[in-house]
Amino acid sequence: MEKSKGFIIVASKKRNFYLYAINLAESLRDYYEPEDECKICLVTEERFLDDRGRDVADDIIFCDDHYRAKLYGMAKSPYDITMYIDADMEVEHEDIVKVWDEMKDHDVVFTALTDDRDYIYAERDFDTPEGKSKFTLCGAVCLYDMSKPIVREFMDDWWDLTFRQMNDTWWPEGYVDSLKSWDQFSLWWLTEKEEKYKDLKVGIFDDDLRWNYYNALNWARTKPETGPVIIRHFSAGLNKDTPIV
Amino acid sequence: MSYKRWMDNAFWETDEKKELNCILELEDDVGRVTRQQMFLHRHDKDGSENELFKEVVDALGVDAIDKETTDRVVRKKAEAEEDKIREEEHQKARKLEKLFNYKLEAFEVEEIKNSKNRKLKAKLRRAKSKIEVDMYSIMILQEQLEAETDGKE
Repeated sequence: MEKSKGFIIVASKKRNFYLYAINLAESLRDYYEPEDECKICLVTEERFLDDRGRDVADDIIFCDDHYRAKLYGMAKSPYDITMYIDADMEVEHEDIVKVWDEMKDHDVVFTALTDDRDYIYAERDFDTPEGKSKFTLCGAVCLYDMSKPIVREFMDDWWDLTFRQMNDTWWPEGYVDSLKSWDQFSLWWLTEKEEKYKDLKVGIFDDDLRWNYYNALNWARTKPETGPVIIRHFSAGLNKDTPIV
Repeated sequence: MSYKRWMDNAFWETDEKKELNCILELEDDVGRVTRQQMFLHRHDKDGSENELFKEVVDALGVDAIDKETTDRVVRKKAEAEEDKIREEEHQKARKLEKLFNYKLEAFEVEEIKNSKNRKLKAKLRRAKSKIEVDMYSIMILQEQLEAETDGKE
């Protein structure tokens, strides 16, 4: 049987995220051909859901107001091959339909945090008891195969570990506290330190800037090599706390 | 082992080659390296030849300083051009963010929020300027208004 495919978008905590999520979901439908094959799961709080959410999403899952409900949502995806996209992003190219080809033989696929894009990162390098290290995976988009038990377990663990690191019930010795607010840390921990995930096949999107182009990047310095931007990330330029209207 | 050397990126400040901008690198007995930028005149105030100036020119050679001066002009021009392009791109990105926020505001207008016209809403989302956003917003509002009028008749 063919694996099901779909997108997952999470909007929690602030109403603005819900509005970003609706915009993202509608932009997916604007560009995905054929549109009826574009399956979208919206994970949000019940208090935010309105007709726009019900109209644009095929599946709706309710979450609580956790700061990192995205990981809860990712772990609950109803689709085998799932493409998670941060709510504050927008699709702007038809090549979005090719996203499934990026799965290849990987288990999970991310975009990269690289040295040449360092000028926009808030916190990337850090000390560990074994020496210097740095984050290399960006969790803004993530393509993963939930039909594999190892991936389901990984997603559950990522959510669980992030939840515990943020409520101070888990934190390893020798790591600075400022890293606690980053789900990149739990991701780094699981992929670099957890024995059971040493064989997890982690991939990077081909020409990954096409799949997650931070608007904070300077186009004159950093741009995709093989084609136009497919998904743009507006993270830096948004006032997430002030009501849009 | 201490040393003293003139770095090879010295350049003439003027076409007349009467002023020289150069860097002196020094290492002391315990291996600490310091660099000192110097602005030297060919002649002292009393008209006599400046010994340091002569030392630099003798050490590096006039041809090398000429070349570095020319290369530096080209390099500085290229850097200025690159800075200009980067600044332009930075401004474009800020404009795009503002436009994104403006579109989200438009999508919160009751009539646009409730509109089922996917085609017009998609055009609004793809709009490249505020004027374009306004134009499609008006079209959606007009359509909603006409639908309401038709409903009443």
